Amino acid sequence: MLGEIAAALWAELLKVRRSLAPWVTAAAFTVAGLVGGFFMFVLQDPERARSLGLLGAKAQFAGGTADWAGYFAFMAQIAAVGGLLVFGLVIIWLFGREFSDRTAKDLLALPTARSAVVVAKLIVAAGWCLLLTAQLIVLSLLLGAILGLPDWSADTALRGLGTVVATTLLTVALATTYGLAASIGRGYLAAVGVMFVSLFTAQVIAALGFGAWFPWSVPSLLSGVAGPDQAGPGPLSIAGVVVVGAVASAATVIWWEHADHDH
Amino acid sequence: MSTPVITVRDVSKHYGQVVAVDNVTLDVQPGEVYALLGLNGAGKTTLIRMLLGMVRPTTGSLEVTGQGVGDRSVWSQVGYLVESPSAYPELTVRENLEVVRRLRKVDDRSCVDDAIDLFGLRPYVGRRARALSLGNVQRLGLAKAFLHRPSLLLLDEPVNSLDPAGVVEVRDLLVNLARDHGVTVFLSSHRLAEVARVATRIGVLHQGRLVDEFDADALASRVRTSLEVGARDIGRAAWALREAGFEARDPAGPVPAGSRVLVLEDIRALEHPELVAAALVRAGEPPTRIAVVEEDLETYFLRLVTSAADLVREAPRAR
Repeated sequence: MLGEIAAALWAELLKVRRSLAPWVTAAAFTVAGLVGGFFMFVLQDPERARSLGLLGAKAQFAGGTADWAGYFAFMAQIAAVGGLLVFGLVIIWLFGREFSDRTAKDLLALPTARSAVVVAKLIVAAGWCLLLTAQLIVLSLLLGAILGLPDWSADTALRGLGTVVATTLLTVALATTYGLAASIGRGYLAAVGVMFVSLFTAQVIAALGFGAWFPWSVPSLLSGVAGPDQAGPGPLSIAGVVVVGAVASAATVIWWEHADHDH
Repeated sequence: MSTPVITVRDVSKHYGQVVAVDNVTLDVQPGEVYALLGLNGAGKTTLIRMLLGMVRPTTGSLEVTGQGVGDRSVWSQVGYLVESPSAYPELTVRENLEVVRRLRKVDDRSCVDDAIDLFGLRPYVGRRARALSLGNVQRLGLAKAFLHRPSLLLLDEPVNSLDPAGVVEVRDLLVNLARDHGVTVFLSSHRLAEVARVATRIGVLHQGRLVDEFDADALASRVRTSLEVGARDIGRAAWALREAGFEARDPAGPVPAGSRVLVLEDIRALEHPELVAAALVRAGEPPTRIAVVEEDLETYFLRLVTSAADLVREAPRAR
């Protein structure tokens, strides 16, 4: 089975390398990182923030304070909210393209198991999303250093980066549901619909104060987007996200193995 | 008789109230080129997908190379092309084949170049699939199907997008694979004239049912032959022929505008058209034209499925 996953991984990585999709997602996260740096730049100088009016108000809402802790919190929020969108699109592309390019049928009667193909796609998705987060972190560290943000310490960096990575992992786990939707829906459209419904619902439920009970709101809570007064998600909430990711991944494997592939 | 390469037993596939495949039973012997013939929507693709384990039958069983289609190991001996051929558009021809080689666990890297040469893809080897013509995408699909030198090829409409030269090429290739390499070919098509040139056995699928199955050699004897007789006064010619003991009728199908034609189908007229001519001359109505006409294959096919449709309507459906 490992050999089959390795072969499927090779094929998936080749398809990714030859496609524009990695560049598009990298560009999206570069813009997000630059916006974060700009907010910090604005927050550093209250006079400048006031002169910018609405933008200044938004920067206050998004980042809080112009220091390293505030900057790390902003990165985590990008990974939570922007991540669900971009990571979701990554997984939807990996699965949905097989149907829109009509290549799925070529993966169904091979000596390589269909489950190996699905596992390879999930591994590539996770790696891709982690690389995007790494890119965000490197860019943000660079911009933070250029801006000379105060209050750097190893503890702040470890805590902040830990939150960013944890938020990314939770977001990736949730994005697997879109891979399942792209498979069952045999293309991009249904999965994009599911993604937007879950994003919208997560915002509403979090605003109502029940975010800890709704897995799609949990990464946002962990990133601190609800503000410093709101408690972060507990172990049960985190476990809920892990269960959603595990169930969606298993369901995707089962669907590819056992569904009727009749078109 | 040797063990069949394909065994289909009482297979049906229902989608709710829709019966896509209805109680089909067939065998395909090693080295045969079996052509499954049917109109669009007859159930050909569904049957091929069931043979490939992509669709589960509602009832019945299928075996490929002696194994159930649920057994994954069987696919190393099977190559396939289902519906329209497809390829990863951003990958080159070589990369598309390399993906298949790895997923098919073929260690011999030279099989990629062999397939490229065999299907005439050498000039396009570095071209991305999105830039290929439809015909070359079809060639690439066939190359993917044959890359690992399977003992069984399942091909759904394999010459659909090919130009006439490509059609001849693929036809010769399939005949050659079956005759010289013992490869069994199971293909579907809606073009009888095309499959008649390549198949050794033909099955006709209509509305999900296998309505006829015969050796391709027997096709000639199934096609209707008739004698067409032209005359200036068609009524008088018909009377003269009846007097001479021939049964003549007006053609059922369309005839060219202005033509005056009678059709005779009895064996005596077909074997002795000179007697027909003599009878007309004696009656003072000499023929303007006498020709033995063979029903074309498409007409035969349509006649077959039309009568099969009547049978399907009359027979109780197996549910």
